[in-house]
Amino acid sequence: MSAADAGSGAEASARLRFGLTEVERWACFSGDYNPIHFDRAQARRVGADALIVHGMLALLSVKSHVATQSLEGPTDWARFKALLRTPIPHATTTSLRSWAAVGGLQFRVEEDCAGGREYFRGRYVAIDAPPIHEGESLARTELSAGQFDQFYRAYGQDHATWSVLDCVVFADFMRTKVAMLQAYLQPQVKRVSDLGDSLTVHVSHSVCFVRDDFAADNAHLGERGFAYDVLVPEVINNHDHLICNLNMPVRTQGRTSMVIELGLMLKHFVEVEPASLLRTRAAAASTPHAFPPPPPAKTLL
Amino acid sequence: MNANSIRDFLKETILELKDIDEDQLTDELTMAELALESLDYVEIQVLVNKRYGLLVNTELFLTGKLSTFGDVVAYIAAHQVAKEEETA
Repeated sequence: MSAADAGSGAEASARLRFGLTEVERWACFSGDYNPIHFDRAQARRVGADALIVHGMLALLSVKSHVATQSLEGPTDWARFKALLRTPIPHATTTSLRSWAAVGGLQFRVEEDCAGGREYFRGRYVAIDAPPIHEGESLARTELSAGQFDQFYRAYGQDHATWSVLDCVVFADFMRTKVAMLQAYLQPQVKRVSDLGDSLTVHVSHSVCFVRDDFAADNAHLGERGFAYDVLVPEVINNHDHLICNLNMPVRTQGRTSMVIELGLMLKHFVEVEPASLLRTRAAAASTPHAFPPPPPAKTLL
Repeated sequence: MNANSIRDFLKETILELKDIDEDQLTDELTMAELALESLDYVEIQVLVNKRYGLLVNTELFLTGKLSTFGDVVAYIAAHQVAKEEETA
């Protein structure tokens, strides 16, 4: 966040701006060196006029902004949900606004001019305990204290603990699970090369968490033995793109403390299976690693 | 599962997508008037699928078969009835 403008009561606003330095720092932390963030020609190829800021980098500032507001209500859980509508170009000043809504806050990230485009919209609210999906896991990963240290080295200690954990899980997912997910999705695409020709767009991001679990000091997160699962995703096949809804419950001390949900859209397929909805839990989950690794897909996250 | 609960769910979903007053979300409101974008349809599709186990094919919106808010409510309600009859 380059400059905070104002903040009073339930309404607050700030300006966000991310340049190459910030994008490189996020790439270093998350391992996402997709050329669309660094190569103007690649960005143009996917329809962007300029280099694109990682969605999760911008969301980190949004989460820090909304987390300064305390949530009302007796419920044990909170949910941060963002819809990522348009990629944010490098060095674009955007306006982040938040205001009171039922159970918490609404927010928008928009172009900082009258009638400017909307980049993100969402809510940060107190909720009742959500249903915890106990679906089959594609992978389970224990997070190390070192992974949290990497975050703190890059971004300091001044972020909400739930936001830190969200970032650390996401970075681990980007570094170690993307190829596995592509292998899982590959059989649902007719042409072997299709995933290699596709662009993965992060279109929604939701974090539900137990409020009391994240009231503690940031410094202890790495010692709490967090582990997360990547559950078999819900996949919707829409002919020219694939929707992949991915649930990642995060556990500590034997119980679920957070659920991260990624909404991913895989675009630019040449041809896909005609089935309207593919629920391939059983078949693919039984042999999740049986497919040859696909060529690397482009990821816009 | 009745139409009112489906209507409430859809209202909540659309109010997260668009800046409109809840009072405007009548059954007669057209999808064109809502000015939904492609990502809005995707979000509706994902949430309806998660809640009701029903895929609302986006073609139904694009071809005008589901042209009003009420059409979408009725479509989901009809599928829920069919589903309940199947399991009965």
